[in-house]
Amino acid sequence: MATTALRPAARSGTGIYEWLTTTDHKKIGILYMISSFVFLAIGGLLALGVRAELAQPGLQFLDESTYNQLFTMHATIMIFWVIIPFLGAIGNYVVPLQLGAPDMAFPRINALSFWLIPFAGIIVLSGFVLGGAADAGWTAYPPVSSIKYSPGPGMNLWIMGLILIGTSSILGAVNFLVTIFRMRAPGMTLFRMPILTWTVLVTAVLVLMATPVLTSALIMLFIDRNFGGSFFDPATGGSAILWQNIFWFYSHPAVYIMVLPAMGVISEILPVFSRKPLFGYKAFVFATAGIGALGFSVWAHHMFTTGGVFLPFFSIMTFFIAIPTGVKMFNWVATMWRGQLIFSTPMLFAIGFLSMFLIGGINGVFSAPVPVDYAIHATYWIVAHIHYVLFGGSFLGIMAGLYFYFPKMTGKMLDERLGKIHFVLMYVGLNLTFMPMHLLGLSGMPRRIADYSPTAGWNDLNLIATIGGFTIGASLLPLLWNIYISLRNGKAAGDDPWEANTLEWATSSPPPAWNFDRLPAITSERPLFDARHGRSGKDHA
Amino acid sequence: MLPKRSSCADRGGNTRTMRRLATLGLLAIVALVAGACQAVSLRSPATDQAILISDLYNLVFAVAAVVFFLVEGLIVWSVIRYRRKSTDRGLPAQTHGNLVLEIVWTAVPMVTVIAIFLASWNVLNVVDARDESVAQVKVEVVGYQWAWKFGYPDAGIEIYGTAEQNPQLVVPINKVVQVSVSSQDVNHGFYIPEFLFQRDAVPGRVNVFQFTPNKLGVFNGQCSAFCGLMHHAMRFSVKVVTQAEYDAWIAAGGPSANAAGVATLRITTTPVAVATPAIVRFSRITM
Repeated sequence: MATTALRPAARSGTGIYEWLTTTDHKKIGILYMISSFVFLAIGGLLALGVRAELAQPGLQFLDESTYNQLFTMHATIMIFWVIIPFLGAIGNYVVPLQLGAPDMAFPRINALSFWLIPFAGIIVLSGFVLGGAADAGWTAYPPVSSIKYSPGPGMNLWIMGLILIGTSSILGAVNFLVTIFRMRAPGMTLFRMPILTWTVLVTAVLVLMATPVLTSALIMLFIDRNFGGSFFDPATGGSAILWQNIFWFYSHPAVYIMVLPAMGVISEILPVFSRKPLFGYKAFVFATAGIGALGFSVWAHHMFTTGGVFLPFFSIMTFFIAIPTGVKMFNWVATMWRGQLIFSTPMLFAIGFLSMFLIGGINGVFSAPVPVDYAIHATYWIVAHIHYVLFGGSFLGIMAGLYFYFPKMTGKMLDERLGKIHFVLMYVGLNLTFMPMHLLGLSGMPRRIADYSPTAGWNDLNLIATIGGFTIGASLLPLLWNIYISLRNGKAAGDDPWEANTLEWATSSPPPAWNFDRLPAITSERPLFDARHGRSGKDHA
Repeated sequence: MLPKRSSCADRGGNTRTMRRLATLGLLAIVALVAGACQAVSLRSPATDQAILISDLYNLVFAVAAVVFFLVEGLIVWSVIRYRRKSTDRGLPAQTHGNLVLEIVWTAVPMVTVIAIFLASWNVLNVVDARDESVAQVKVEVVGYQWAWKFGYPDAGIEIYGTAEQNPQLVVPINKVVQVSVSSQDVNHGFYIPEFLFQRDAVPGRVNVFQFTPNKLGVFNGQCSAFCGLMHHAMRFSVKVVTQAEYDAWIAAGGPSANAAGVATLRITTTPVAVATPAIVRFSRITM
């Protein structure tokens, strides 16, 4: 294994062929990021289509069929081809560096994990030109996703693409686990690992336990659709609720798959820009593991209204999972408390994450008391909730990570002024978009409707949300411009532009193919801090 | 909750002005919260069960508001108070944790959520109560792409809606109405915002619930579970009338006798315009 891992040292170069065949975790990480940006553009345009249609009552731009494809594919692309791979990009690039390792444990499998993504993406998107993309919602509940009610090729392509990208995730998870357990530098004990690596570890366990379950469900649906199976068809002895159980057994942990690494990124950034260690490192590790474990016991809170769920169990577990999340929130705030805060762009996005993810946590708790869930289930309240978690949480965390690690990846600093413009536009835009959705949900607007009654009182709020959506879209322009000009003539970053704590900052920017010429001594979770300031009893209480 | 700063009071000059500002600020926050509470409440409840749900929502909302303002307040305070200043020399104190604090902020939320869970369980037991013997009106609801069938088995009335002509369910006020809901094709959601309630219509399954309307009027509902092409058009309404009006309506055989705009609905004995592979036979299922 060690010889395989050292292979990238033999390669270097930046030609197209080199990028297409690379097994270097850093180049693969950057490929993940480029792919995620491309799919972000697609998923974002799909969302803007949805928002444009909903800006006012009546059908102006789309028919129902197209609308249903748009919201289905928006969620599918954003979840599986944007957020998860974006976090995969950060994990791929940073985790081996944080461990002091020369590469991932299985570099070729790592390359395979990546290359499955664009091809799987082309498969699911090809529905748009082959007679209609998937149109049953990203949850694909049978019977509406069955061959009878969704006869086009889109659903089959969707299933195939999802199975492929699930395989990519599973391979990636195995790779991360082996890398973390087998390739840590001397001195890097488990409890000296950076929190980002810890969150990737727990995420990999979640992927390994949950994703094969989704794959099974997808295969069952494929058999039902194409070979006359009857897993989910009540007319032939199947159960429509069975799909919901299996699907959410994966898809609820998937929310943690999408948010834990973002929490890890935030937990790297807040200490650096507060000039303090993370408050309660061990509590944070246990809270992460706790979220991972509890994450498997709450899936049926998506199904309270089906009438087929043991309500009290899933209700109280849903309440309980709020606790480790709350612990983390307090740890982050306490990390900033009495620090010396520096508001560089990564820190702004990290604080943005705190303030927005808090809302996503709080508005989610409303679904734990079952009777309240009866009132808000499947309304725009839930749309607001998931977007405060995945956009206000995961995506702002990803943006924080992008600004934080861009200097390491490229050797160039991003422009601070453009970064701040990006942050303000995105922060305002996301609140304009998703805050009104709470009120829409409370007044009874169901999600996934192409049109609504002009007399329902939803016109103004929908218009505001649409304006917000386009503001978010616009906020990405300064980011892209920033990346472009910074790559051309950005300020040189140096090894450690942020005075950071962890090993990825102990090598050059960008690092050589073999990552490290030498490593500092690792005697705590902040080896670079120790090297810079010396270990003192005061610093390590 | 967090460690107190050592020197807070000696900054700023006139403490009285500060106090006045603080009072004003507090009043502004209270006004803001009061205003916000108006906007962020659920629809005004129209059934006995909905009143309980509304109260429970308000409880959860109150706790949520406290948590929101506490944590966002701590974040904003940190951002303002702990900015790095040009006068900062050296590193801030390198605090690695505080066991007591961490136990407190684990235990307090734990107790809080258990309390809310118990409150919600009480409400759930009322909202989900299904005592067949107290039901005074029984209706059957069947969802199909993309409309609803409402049936009154005791009176032999059946109402079929279409996506263009939304059906209306008529029920008497202050009576226990028992609804059994199912679907004959895909999943649907029987959702009435002012009842603060929805229940899925799932093929192969009959879901039963009861409600006691306590307000006269027409309440709009619509399908809440995505059900295909015309999901958005799958609307209906519930009209709550007095017992006398209800009796007259039943005696007249349903909507055709009612002049209030529902005359377009017709009574038939066979389903219209639906493929029915798995239609649920209510007669065989006893609730």
